[in-house]
Amino acid sequence: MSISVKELSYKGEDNKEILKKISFEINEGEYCFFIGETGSGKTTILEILMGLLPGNNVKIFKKDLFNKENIKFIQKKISYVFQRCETQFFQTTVEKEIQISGDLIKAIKILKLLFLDYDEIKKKSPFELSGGEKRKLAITIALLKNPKILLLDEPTTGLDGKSSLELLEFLKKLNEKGLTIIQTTHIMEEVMEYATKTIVIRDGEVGYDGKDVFQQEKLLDRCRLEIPFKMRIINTLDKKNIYLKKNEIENFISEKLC
Amino acid sequence: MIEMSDITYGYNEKRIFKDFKYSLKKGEFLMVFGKNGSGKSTLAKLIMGITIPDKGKILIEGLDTSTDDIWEIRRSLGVIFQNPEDQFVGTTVLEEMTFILENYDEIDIEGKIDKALRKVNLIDKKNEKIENLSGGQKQKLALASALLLKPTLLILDEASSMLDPKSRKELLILLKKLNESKVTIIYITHYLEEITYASRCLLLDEGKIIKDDIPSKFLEEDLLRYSLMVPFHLKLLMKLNKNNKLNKDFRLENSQSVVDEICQYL
Amino acid sequence: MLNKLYSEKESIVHKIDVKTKIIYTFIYILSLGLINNLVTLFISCISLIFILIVSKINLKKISIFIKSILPALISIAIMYKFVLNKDNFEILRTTSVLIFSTVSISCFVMTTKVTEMAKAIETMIPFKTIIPAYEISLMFTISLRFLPIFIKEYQRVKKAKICRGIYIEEMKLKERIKNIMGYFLPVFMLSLERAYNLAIAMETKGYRKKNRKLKWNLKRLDYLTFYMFAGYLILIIGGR
Repeated sequence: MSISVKELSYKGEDNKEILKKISFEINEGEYCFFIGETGSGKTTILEILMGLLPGNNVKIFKKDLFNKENIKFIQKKISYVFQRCETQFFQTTVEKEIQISGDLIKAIKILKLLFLDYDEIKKKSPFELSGGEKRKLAITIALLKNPKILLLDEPTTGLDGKSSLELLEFLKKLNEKGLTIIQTTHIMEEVMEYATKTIVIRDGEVGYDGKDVFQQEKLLDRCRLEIPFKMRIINTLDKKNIYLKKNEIENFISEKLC
Repeated sequence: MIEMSDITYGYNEKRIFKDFKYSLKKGEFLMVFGKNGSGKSTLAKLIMGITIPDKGKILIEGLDTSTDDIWEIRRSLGVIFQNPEDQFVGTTVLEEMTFILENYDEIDIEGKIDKALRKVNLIDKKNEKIENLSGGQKQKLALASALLLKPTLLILDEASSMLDPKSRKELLILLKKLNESKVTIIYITHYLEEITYASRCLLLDEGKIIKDDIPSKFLEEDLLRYSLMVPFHLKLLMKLNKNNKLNKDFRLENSQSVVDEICQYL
Repeated sequence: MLNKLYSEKESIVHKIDVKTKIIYTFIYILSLGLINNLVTLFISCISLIFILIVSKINLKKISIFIKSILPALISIAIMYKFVLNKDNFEILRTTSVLIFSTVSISCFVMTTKVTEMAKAIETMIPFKTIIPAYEISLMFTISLRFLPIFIKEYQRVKKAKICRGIYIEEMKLKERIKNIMGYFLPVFMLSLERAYNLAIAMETKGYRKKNRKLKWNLKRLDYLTFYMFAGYLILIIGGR
């Protein structure tokens, strides 16, 4: 397994317990979602996995993350995209930003896959791009170091529907090629469509870890999350002995209504 | 209530609005949609008086936003912004609400604050530090502060986009209640499923009004054409509506009862 | 940050009008210049201790302040004794004045909310048509409010740099200076966006320059403290 966490605890400011002995494993190639109430510790977990916050008992690529000899080596293989992606920009133009990050040709390719034209934005400052463009640039830069694991903190916040979809579809393709993706979100539809595994964090503890998170109605309710409408329809039709997959639902409905 | 005529506005050689006209009647719960860059946030800023049009006038209840009337307008205008982190001056709930009342030289400060907090169910957090509130509670605080001076108009600029689903719902239910007591609401969002709370919808694209109508008249094709992603259950509802298989008014809740009802048709 | 220093307890000192507190603290520090013998030293010390007790401030927090100026105090004391050859009372006087000034300012800061400080300063500035009191007070409030934001954003940027393989702790001073723009730019831009959002929020909430009713509004408590403070001054002058 790529990531193995055993009884990880973390105390924040004022000695507040943010994570209470949590344990989980994430295998290579998973698209894992961390969900939970805002403030439940999801971002903290991502930051600990990146080695930005202190922790204990975290093994990545079978090596102890918090061992001084390993940490830099591991950090080279993980990329993190912050929720406020401007945090990572520090050059005056997009061109310079990419120049110091890696191969230009590869960057142009990735940007194209994200529907961004490099020539249009190269002379602009990364801070004056639109929200969606900033995210796409941040992800491009994150991918230039050829990471094995990509961590994303609520990457679709502030993006409109179309940009969100473009982003998530792109991430899906990367995941299919073998990239392990770990993401936080509060949009349940994303979890429904893309997750191969979901971990629910509640009050600093693991509430659920598995593939059928939408069966956990009570837990989701306590975390102020919802079961997506599509999922409810599938579950209800299941009970009526009509078994449909996610991608079959829309056609089924169109047929039934016309 | 709001009259916008011949609005022209733009910056950096980019015209956002040109000869834009719009009028909004009192008491409406208006939802504004559009992809990023369509001008919806700029529209909000123009109405708030934060930006002034290069040409044209915006009149709110007859008062002009480009003159000093704007301070009179702001007395009856409540604004809630997208980011719960960046809109508060005070450190505690009480401080924040006192700040607003002091700006308008109001008396009976405690009374007004208690009343507003009760309306949003935050009365027990009166002395709480703002940083200890959740995102949903912060937006409720923003709403409570906006309600202090009994506004006739509320503007919410993507106020729900950083909230979890339950908080989003709670906010919309509160807004619906306020709208029922005759508060006009302008609500900008890109969560199309929220359309069902509106009494009127405005679809913008590149600074132009594409459609201005009641929610049930909006079809999936219209929205897709303007780069808006229609969520699944809304698509479903629109289809049912189109085929006249919906005998209730255009309402949608993500609840099991609604799902059961819809599954009857399948 | 300054908000963390605010002591939550309710005491008489908390209730005194901020403007009078500012004046008292200022004049108290000036009055320390009147110390010329043990009696006056004793009077100023006792008065300060009295205020500390009445204000119910956590003494541990005060000791932090004293500890922070301790190196300066010790170096001054050593310099006075061995370099400038001043007599013992002089040394005692200088170190005491420094301690009392620090403690009295800390006491003020710990019993006054930042928003009240800004308002008090704005009210007290005279000749408002010539001196831009509103702007000065606004700059004061905003700077104080943004200090913790700058710190938070800087910590975030530091983390972001680690993600991009830049470890500042391992760089030598020259390299660090070279890289400073790379920290300054994102912190500045991030804070600027937040400042912009806050400015819009404040304006829509009615905060503006005109018609700001800034009155002195002193209450009975303030007049009472005036008599007490006058008493202190008489004692000090009398003790010389």
